Amino acid sequence: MAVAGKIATPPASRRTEAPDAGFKVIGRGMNRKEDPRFLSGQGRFVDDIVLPNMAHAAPLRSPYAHARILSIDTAAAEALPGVLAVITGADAARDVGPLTSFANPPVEQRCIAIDRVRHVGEPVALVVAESRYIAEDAAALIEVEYEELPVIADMREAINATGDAVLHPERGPNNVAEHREYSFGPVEEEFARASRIIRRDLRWPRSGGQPLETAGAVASYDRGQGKFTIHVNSSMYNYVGFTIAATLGVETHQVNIVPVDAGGSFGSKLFLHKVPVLAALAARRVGCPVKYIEDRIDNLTACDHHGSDRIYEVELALDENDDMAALRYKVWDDYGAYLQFGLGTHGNGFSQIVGPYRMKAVGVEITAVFSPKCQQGACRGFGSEVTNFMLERMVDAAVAEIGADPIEYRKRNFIAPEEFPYQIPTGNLYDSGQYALALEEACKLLDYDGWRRKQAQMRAEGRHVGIGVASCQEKGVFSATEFWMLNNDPGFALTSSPESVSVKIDSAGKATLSLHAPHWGNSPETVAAMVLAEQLTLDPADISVAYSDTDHGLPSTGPGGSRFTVMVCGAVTGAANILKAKLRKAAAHLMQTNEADLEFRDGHVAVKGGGAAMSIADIAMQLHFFRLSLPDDPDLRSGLDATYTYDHPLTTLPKSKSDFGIFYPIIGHMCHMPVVEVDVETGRIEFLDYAAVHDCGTMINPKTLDGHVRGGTAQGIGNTIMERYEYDGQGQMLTGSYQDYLIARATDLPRNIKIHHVETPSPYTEYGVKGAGEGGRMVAPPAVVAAVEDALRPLGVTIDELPIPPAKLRRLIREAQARQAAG
Amino acid sequence: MSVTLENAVVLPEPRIAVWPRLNDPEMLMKCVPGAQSVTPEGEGFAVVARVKVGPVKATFRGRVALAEIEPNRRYRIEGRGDGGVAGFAKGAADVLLEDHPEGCLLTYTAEAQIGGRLAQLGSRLVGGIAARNADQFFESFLAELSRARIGA
Repeated sequence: MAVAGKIATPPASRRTEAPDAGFKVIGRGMNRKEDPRFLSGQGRFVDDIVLPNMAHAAPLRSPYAHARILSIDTAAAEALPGVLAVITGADAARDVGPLTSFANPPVEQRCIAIDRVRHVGEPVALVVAESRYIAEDAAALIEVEYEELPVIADMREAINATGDAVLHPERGPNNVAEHREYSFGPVEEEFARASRIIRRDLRWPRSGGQPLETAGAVASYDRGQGKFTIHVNSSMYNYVGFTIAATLGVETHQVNIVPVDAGGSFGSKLFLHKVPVLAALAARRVGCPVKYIEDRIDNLTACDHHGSDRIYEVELALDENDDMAALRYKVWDDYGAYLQFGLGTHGNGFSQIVGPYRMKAVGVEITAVFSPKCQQGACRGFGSEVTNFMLERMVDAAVAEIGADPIEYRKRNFIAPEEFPYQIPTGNLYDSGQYALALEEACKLLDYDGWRRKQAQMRAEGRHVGIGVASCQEKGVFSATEFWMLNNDPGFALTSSPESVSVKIDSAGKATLSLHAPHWGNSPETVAAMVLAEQLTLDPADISVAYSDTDHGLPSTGPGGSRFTVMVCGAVTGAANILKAKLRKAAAHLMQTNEADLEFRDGHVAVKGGGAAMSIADIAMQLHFFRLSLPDDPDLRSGLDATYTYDHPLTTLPKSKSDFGIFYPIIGHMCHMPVVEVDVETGRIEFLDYAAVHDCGTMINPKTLDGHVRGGTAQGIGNTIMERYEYDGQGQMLTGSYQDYLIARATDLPRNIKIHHVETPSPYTEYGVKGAGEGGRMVAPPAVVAAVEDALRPLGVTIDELPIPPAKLRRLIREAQARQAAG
Repeated sequence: MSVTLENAVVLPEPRIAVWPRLNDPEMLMKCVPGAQSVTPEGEGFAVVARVKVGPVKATFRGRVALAEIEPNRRYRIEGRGDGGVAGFAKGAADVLLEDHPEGCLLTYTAEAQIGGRLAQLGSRLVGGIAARNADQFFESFLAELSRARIGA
């Protein structure tokens, strides 16, 4: 059992680069290296890949949520001129196996359903034709005879599924996918001695990342080599790309996965399997390259990456001082028809389940269910955005019940700066933090006291103005070791989550840096170039960044889980150190001096204290072309290049199901304070102000970081006030376009999100960098809900369920008014 | 998603005159909005109809079966149609004829379920479109009845 509290003997750190080393490049708000090509339309997205003789694929999708496929007649489709092949599930199964699943035991999912469809939008056939138009016309000519099967769409009813309503009979007698209980720390004891127990039922609705560009792939198959080439806008291809080869029934080296720029992901392209497999299957079948890109309906109904869909029953135990002692919750999570990441989104939450608070124990009961809906995948936060919402709702409930001040109550329950590194009850470690400072900075940034005065005046005028506060964690740098303990039997048990870079300095002293992960909508080129420039004292403009395919790829996990900046900093630093050692050694010889007397200065290797210097370009020239000018030393072989694979900075083996060990230890923090006004007549929310304080450790580039904060916050606000995938009782999706699936627009958002940063460097990462990609979405929902609740406090409205579009808010207001009228 | 329609229409003919027209494929062909063909089949009809709901246009092929028939008084229509990539629709309607001073009163209660693209793209539209189609049906039905009367 993990005992919560300061760790007496902190784990050793591998850090070589200090956080405050008088940086020249790091910390500068540099324009993105990526921008010129993206802003001038020169990005290379998957649809920009056009290969000679390329065919196009379109799937026919099930209109039923759950049905048996009795027959498929493809004759008319095949007869349409321009059609090259019509592939059914049974056809596909002759060539390809099940899709990637990280659940244990895996849940079988096919790229084309074989005899049964399990959600609306599941492919039942794939047409390959000379054009997408022909492919879609042909798909409309396929006649499928279905036998409808019973649908249980409500997650609480899943346990009652019997007979034909069971989606995966091989996994058990009902639609419960997994049922697990975890106990971290002395749960029973803390609840037994609690002076007060706060209870709330909460609902987090299904939403999802909405990338402008959907998932897509262009695949070709070289019969001579027996090798696939797949261009796809997926991450993780140099990590688990081998599973695509396994599905295609070939060896890993027989698939080259080529990255393309991704037009946004927000988690939804974390690891694409169905789309590249469909394209590859088709390419091998028809003997020419095949492009398949989801259209918007495909993406909304069947992207395999819907977000969490949860019901919570939560209890928060308060001790004799009314401080938070322990948390206990039951959660139901509707995973949809398949379970590709197992309970990964719950394990993620375990990394920071007590938030920034000093709590001793956490008890969890998870009921993960199957329903005939699109399956869950990754969505910015990977489940921790939901636990943050749940926890902050409970804190606000406690504050309301005991009549405390929301600022003071949080402060007195925060883990204090001197308590780090801090072990939480699940066994994970928090590396560092200054939570009270972030809260104080947010109060200053917002002018909290000023707004409280204004709020009182506005209330007196009959206006409904509220101020919200939320203090949340942003776990950074996943290691995936927690997956071991989520399964009953260890499955998908790995302990590596590395990131590699390769750097080549040419004979003119300029650099090409290869990442082994894709551009994913973030700013990897900017970050990598800045760190290399810092290390080698080069100009970032003299560094170009390339992306390796799997043929040239080195072990790299890729962006996701707020890890990439930390990991790229580590990998670039490692590679730079190799280059610097060689440059130093060559320079010492060329300048007839000692290595120890040399330093890197403005693109030169120079004698310390302002002495003689030789440019990196000159040394590089010698290393590339003047072998005989240098000693016959194996360290001085021709060329100037380095490759470095950086492993996770701090992770341990899991110990038990009640102590997961260290698996997500680089902990960022955010404090958001929105001010909203609610129009009680219409239920519309207007933002009057918004303050966001983030602590992601040392900042590499404040400009791109602020973009992440603003974008994440906008997404979190959208999740709070409008976004929702809606299904009816028959499993029909009712939000198949952006007319019905609503995304926040500029007019729904704050005019300005004021941003401030607190920098608490991590002791474990190079420069003290922490993750920052998910924070905005992980804190905005509880902050905004708290503000809305505060605005409606005179009416006594409580909000337990998202989203809160005007109609929902009006209903809550009407009910509260009726309660008040009834006295 | 499901759509429920309930309405009553006064028809200027007695029940005994309206009943056969409700079972007349030619009449139905003229009155069902978008109907391409209505063919008798067992205790019902095979129907092909063109339907447009927002951005979804489709030709639905389906079968309509009549049940619980009490001649000149009531029946239950059950049907389902397949619109291919557009999705499907299925439903049932209870139709009742009662005497009325001006002729007879037709009351119907219909419930339909739609699925696939129709539901994904048309959930907000389909209720209105179903009501409009029902209105159109009875407008045409009334027009046909009066044309028949004038013709006679």
